[in-house]
Amino acid sequence: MDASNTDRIWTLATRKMSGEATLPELDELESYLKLHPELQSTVQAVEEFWRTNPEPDREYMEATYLLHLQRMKNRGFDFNSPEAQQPSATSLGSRIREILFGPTSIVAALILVFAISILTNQRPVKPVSANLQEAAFKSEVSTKYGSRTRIVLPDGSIVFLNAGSKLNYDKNFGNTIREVKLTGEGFFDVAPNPDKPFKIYTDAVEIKVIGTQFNVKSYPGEKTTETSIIRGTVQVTVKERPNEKYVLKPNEKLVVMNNGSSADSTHPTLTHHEPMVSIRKLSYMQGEQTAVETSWTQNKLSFQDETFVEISSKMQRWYDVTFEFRNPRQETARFTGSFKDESLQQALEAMKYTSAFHFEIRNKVVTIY
Amino acid sequence: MLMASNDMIAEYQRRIAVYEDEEAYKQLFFLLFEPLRQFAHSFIKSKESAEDIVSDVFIEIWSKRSELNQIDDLKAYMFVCVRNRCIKKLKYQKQTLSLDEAPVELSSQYATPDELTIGHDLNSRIHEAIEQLSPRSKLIFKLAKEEKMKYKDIASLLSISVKTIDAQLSTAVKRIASAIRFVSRSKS
Repeated sequence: MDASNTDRIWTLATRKMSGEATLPELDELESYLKLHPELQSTVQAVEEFWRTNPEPDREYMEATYLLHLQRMKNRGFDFNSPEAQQPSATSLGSRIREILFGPTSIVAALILVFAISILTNQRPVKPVSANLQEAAFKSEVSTKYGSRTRIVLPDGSIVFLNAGSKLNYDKNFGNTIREVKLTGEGFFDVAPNPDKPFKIYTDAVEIKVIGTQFNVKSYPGEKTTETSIIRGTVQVTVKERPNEKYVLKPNEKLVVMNNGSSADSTHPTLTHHEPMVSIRKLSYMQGEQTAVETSWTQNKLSFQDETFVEISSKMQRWYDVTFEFRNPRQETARFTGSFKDESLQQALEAMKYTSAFHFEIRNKVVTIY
Repeated sequence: MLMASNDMIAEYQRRIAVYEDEEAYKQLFFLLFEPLRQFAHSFIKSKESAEDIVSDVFIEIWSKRSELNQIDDLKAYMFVCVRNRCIKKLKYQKQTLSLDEAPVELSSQYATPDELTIGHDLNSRIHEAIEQLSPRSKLIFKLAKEEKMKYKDIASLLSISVKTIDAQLSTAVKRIASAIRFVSRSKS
């Protein structure tokens, strides 16, 4: 083999390692190496050396970062000290750095604290599974009907909590493990950390992620538990089928039929042929960027081809009312639509255009007849 | 499900811009401070000055966090910021940025034995080969290997052509390959 040939091999191998090689160049390199198998081991050794890049020392980086924070402070950028970021059950208010939906943050925080006492007194949740101990989840944030909130967890992960929902996490959250328990509906934007997977427990499913955006809907008494993925990949285990793992990609959602939910017993015809677990695509309204499944995080109440009963349970939480259907035929009427700033009255008026029904709102009870 | 470091950087960038996420900022610092400091130290002799330059660039990133989403490639952007600040600093000292005097150090020179998969003998032969490269070649080699930068990004960062980078990197790799072949021959 002549010198120019060897030169060509190293040019191609270099481009390959730097990620600059084109497909024809990769083919060319491969055919050269077939002709000269004696170079094979050298190329492999060079590639191995290329991949070896030691990580900077962790302690050195921690110290450097503290110095940097000091310099930032001198310029007027003061980060929260690590002590202030420790979660604790007694200082719930300090955990909620920003409340998006309330009129003012103080009022919203008061509502939240108030909501917690209501939830614990009047709406006891089902006992959690055996591998979870209630004592492990000491910090709790919850929302009452008609309100939604945003939480920043100690690891930087963001959770939007929809109305009538509850999130519990341990005071050690972020230090050794990242685990939360969700009742209701939450949109998660998980801070990436390959060393500490983020786990979410609900009554029906366990979700494991590294860093991603997704929505989990798991209201007690509802027909299904839904996990919808916006970015990244998550792995879901269904408690009823512990040996199967479902890996979900963006724009997919896992729909799990809940056992013994009240919706099942009242409307057996609706669930008759539905499989226990299914993977579906997220739905988008025409001209909308945000999926129907996550539109609530943008203050929108959306539904696509859903029955009036399904929509009424969303509206119950959204507007903090209860629904009564006088005519069973109206329960199965289907609607597609989206509301943002509409009042309950306006929303129902709009729905009347597509389906014949009457309604009456009295003392937070909506009667459909 | 592990993310490549460039994907991590894009994710941290997004979180800083959207949520003013301090933890994401810290992770970004841990990923990029040392590479940027070593790059600055190639031009600025004082270790403290090199550190201050990089720290200043990180402060600028936080103060401009709301506009961060407009940056296509944050890592490439930060290398350019560090380079510009080095040029400014050198100009103040009536000097210019020179690639031919840059004292470049490769991080892998400091690899501990258990981090090395190729054996100590081979490692020191490889580093002998790298030491014989010109400072310019060494810097190109470091940016391509350790910072995994694209040829076109190295080219615009150092104001040299992609062709030069391709040629100089190939030469460096060829010399490393000779060092490896020398060791394997003498062993067999």
